[in-house]
Amino acid sequence: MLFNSLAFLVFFPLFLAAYLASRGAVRLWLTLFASYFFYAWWDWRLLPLLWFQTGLDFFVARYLHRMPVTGPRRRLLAVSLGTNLALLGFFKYFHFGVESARGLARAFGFELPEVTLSILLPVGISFYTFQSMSYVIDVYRGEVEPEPSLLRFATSVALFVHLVAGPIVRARHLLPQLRVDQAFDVERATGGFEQALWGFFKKIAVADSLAPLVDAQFLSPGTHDGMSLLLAVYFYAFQVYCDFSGYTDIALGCAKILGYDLGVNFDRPYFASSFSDFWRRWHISLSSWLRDYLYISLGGNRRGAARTYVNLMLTMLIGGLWHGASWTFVAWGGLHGSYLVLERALRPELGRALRALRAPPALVRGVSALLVFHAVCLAWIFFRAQSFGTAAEVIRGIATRTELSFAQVTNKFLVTKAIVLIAILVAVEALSFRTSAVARLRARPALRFAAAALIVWGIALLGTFSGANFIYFQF
Amino acid sequence: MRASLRAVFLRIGALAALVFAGDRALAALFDLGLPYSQFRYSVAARGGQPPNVLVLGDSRAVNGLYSPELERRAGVPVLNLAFNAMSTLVAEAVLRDYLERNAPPRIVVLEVTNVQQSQVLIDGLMCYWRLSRALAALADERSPASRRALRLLHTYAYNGEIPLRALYYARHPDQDWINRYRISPALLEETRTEADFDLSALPENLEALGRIVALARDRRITLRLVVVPYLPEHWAHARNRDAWLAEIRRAAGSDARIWDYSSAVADPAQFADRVHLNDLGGAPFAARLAADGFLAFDAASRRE
Repeated sequence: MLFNSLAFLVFFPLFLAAYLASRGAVRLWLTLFASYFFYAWWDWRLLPLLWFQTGLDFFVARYLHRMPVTGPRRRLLAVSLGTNLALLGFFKYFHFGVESARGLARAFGFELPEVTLSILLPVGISFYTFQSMSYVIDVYRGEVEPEPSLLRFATSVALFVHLVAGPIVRARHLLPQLRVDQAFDVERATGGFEQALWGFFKKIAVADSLAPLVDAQFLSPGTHDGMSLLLAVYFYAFQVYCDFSGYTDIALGCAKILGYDLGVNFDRPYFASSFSDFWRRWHISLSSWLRDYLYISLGGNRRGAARTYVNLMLTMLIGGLWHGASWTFVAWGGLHGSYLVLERALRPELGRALRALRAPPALVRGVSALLVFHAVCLAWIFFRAQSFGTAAEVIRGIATRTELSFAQVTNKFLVTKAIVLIAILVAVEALSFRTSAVARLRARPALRFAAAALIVWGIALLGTFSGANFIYFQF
Repeated sequence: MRASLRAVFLRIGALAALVFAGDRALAALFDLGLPYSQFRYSVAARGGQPPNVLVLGDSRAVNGLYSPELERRAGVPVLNLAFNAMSTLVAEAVLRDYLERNAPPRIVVLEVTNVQQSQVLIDGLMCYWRLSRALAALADERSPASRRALRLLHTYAYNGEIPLRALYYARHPDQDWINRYRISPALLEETRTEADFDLSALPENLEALGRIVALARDRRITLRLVVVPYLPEHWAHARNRDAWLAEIRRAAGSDARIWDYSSAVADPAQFADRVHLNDLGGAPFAARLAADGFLAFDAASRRE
């Protein structure tokens, strides 16, 4: 079920009414069934996979906790992680692996047979697999007590607000909240409603309005002028951000209405003034997962500069591959890895140079944010392109066919609308840094009502009601 | 809990009331301004247009039948009501609405390759449903979901590209549209090697074409059915082009002539892409039409 569908607008109030009317185990059962129903709305045939992974990790965690000996514990952990990764690998990376192997063999003069299986990619598999894995690792590390109730654990994995596209909520964060009946809080629910509404605006008005402009350019970049391609890259940066953070806002907002706090997943990432800052603001639940369970496990920054760079690069390459079964995603991760490595390597020299320049800090921050944004945009080209050829064509087009003219830009009205929408988004995010102004707004119910009404009218006037899927569903 | 729920319902009620009131007020404001725009459909809806040359069709008619040049050649006002993705069925509704409020045109020009188009423009023209009986009837039949959404939120009528254009052209006319760029060498090269394709025609559009022909005959309006030029390299790949044109001819009726200029322009520099002329091509093509007598109208229609 999509958040931006009529079905969800019917589902959620009905669920909420039943949820508020129930208590204890009944509420958990209701939440679990509703979550499975939400998932099955898309395709019920893949529910058993979710049940299997949930059951496996629940029982593995319980046994892990009881086992005192290191060797068998490690083997049991390996069984759990191996099974989870094997399932993820099979469903998501099978054809990618086969095609990559065939390509490699061809490079050495061998021809491997073509293997094709009709595999349906289970929506959200990357999210719930990582979530479930983190629980087992936490129990293994002794950081979390195993959950005694399968019902509660299953609800934490399947809770519909985060099931299909995150955020990746750690069990240690969500399970305690499921242990008590969350009381309904009007203020928190109002905040959740406002956040969800803003998420709908980001998705329906901004992301879905930008999508057709981006799609047209990336379909055949060779036939478009450089200015159109450049705009498409900028637009994609905001499309992917509004699509995913919009989904997250709806998820977090709905969770707040139910009484759960799922944390923060995006924190105005395009205002980041460094690449490490960007990753503290972009898809925080994934970047912190990769940091805690991969980067630190690899040794983090504890084994010298060279090993730190290798660890950073590996983490980002795997992070790229997590997004999709294509080498272009790996290249996206590789670019971000390179940015992080370069930033880390050059940080002392850059700091000295900036101090020598005596530039005002605000100017330095602004220029840095612009540079980071453009480097991030360059990486988005690989993220969006279907192939390296397309990515190269986009870059070539921008580099060689860009004139400071909008004459060849088609759909000027939609382009103008897109620019206005991006300006609204950036203005709102820039204003949100002024915490005192935000606090004043929050303290005035009339202003909050007006803001909410403005968002509804904005969606009605500027929304694109294509019913488009969320980009991150495919991951 | 009961107090909390009361507070929630109060807040929801207050927000709903504010949204509703603002929506109606905003939509009423837009409704008030829309007919005064110089945008083509506002001009048509306002009524009172003199006998003229009226152009209908999709983006090929927008760019291929360049109004200022046609006007210069025809010696009478030209109103281009064509729009991107306008199907024949939508063109029929636009024509019927036009005839209700304006003097019968001396010539109606219909670019007939829009028989391929789906009916997406019905929703695009949502803000004009209120002003146009035939369009509204078409919307009732084809866009029930949008109809329902409009009942809920009137401002939704102003969602989309067309209201933005109506706003942009609030004070100056929109009749000078034409692509002002050339086909890119890459697209030209790609076109030369593109795969052969088949052209299609939607049955409802073919039926609408027949009704347009009959309507023009009834109202004694000169009707010109035309195919504006395609990029020859592209047109050559249309496998069924002769059969397709024959199908359109059949739908129009045996006595209706189709002015076929599909291969009339050979120079790629006169195209913006595979199917659209540009400003270099628009003017000479208008001259060609005039020279061929395409813009000559019957004395009988002049009287009306």
